[in-house]
Amino acid sequence: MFAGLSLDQAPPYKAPIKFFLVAPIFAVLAGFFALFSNNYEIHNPLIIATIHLVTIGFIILTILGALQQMLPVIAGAVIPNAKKVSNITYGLITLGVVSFTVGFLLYEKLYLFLAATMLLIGLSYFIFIALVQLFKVKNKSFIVIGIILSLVFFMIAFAIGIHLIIANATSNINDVHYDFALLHYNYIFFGFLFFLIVAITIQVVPMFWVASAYKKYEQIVIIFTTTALLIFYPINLFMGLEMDLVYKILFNFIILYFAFLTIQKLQNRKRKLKDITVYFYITSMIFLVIGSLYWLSMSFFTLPTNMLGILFGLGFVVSLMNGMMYKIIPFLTWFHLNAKGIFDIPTMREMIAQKNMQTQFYIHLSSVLFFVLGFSFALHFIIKLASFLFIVSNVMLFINIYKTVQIYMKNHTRDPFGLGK
Amino acid sequence: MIKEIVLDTTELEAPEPMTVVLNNLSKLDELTSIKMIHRIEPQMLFPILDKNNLHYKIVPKNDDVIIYIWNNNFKDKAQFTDLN
Repeated sequence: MFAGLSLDQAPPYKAPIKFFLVAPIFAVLAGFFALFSNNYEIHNPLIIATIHLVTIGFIILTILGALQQMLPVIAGAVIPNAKKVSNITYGLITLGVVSFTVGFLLYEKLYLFLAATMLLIGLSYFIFIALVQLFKVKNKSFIVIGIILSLVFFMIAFAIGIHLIIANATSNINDVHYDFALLHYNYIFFGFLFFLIVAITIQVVPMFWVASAYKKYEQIVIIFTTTALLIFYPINLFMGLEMDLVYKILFNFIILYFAFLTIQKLQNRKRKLKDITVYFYITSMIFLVIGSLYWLSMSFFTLPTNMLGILFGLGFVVSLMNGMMYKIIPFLTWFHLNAKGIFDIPTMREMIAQKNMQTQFYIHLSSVLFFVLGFSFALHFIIKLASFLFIVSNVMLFINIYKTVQIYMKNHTRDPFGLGK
Repeated sequence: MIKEIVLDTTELEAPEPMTVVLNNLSKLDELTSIKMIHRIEPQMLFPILDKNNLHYKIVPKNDDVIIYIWNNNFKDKAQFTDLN
């Protein structure tokens, strides 16, 4: 008798799943704040709360859930004491997000202090453990190197963020404060989010969509050029080289190359079954390209910065996370039931109806497009419509993924071999 | 006679390649080995092979990866030593 899939190869089911289930709830809350906001200025406390409910509540929590599940698949690296690590991280970050939101709504410094402490401890704790496991991987593929680098850039960005908070709190704003803030934004978005998405995409596109693998030289060009540019950025900034435009143009080339390769691989995938997750992924890549060109255009024209958040944040990152969740959660469910010897379950494709995912995809896409339209022409009623659609989209996302969780809940206590009798 | 079970999983999406190879592991014996063709290295398969005391060799070929799997009793182990 051969030992097949084993549960010690992956975290317990509930460890990553709770991160995925709470993410759309935070997104719904963000939608309500945006819906009932009177102005959409970046300094409005409701908008600050909205932005962080999406960035930390939705994006970071989804990433942490995905990392727990994907590290064993990508690198054979399993987080030790997965249940404990998951519970501590989850508790600190969800409470941190709630505290952050309450802090901005009530303008209470105590809640903001609590939020900063919980988020700092929660994120550092998880990322430190993930990094230790990744450094232990013997033959590090470019994907593993990419994930390690993205987490390192995140740690640097986080340290700079703390420096900025302390500088603000002590009113110690010096000449380089703004440069540190720019470095913080760049490392969070390009160093952490973009880089991590690149590394995970290189793994999951061939794995989940039967597409050809990224060639070695393609991986080298993307990963090492991104790293070189991210190292060059602070040198340019602090040495006053004034080569911002060169940095932006080179980064645009990398982004266009990565997006082109990914779309090409998805379109030429070997099994061309209708798959809504492909729509999410291609949409995400298109918004990445538009966002990148918009970012470059900001060097030549006076353009609103908040549009960058819509294009990169909602269009690129949230679209991708939606599609990714629709693949990872059925995979997680299949894996855990299979490892328990329960085989008479729906296939991954059957776990969430394509029709339901399709409806949610179009609502999500409409929401992003209405946000773009609303912010382009400062039309508040269009922004409110976009916020409403964003709420509906995330309620549907929650329902769709919850149906998969129900399949697990219904089956996981079964005794397929009659061993309990 | 030496037999090689060829499992071409290049057109299967996750987790089907894993299911296919797991269903074939019990067929390994002194005369039978497995040649699995995959688009990427299946990281989660290797701990299972180790746990079952099975041997494997990973050989990249063009855009794919070939994983040869055999057990301790397999008579023609020598064929895997020169593979690159």
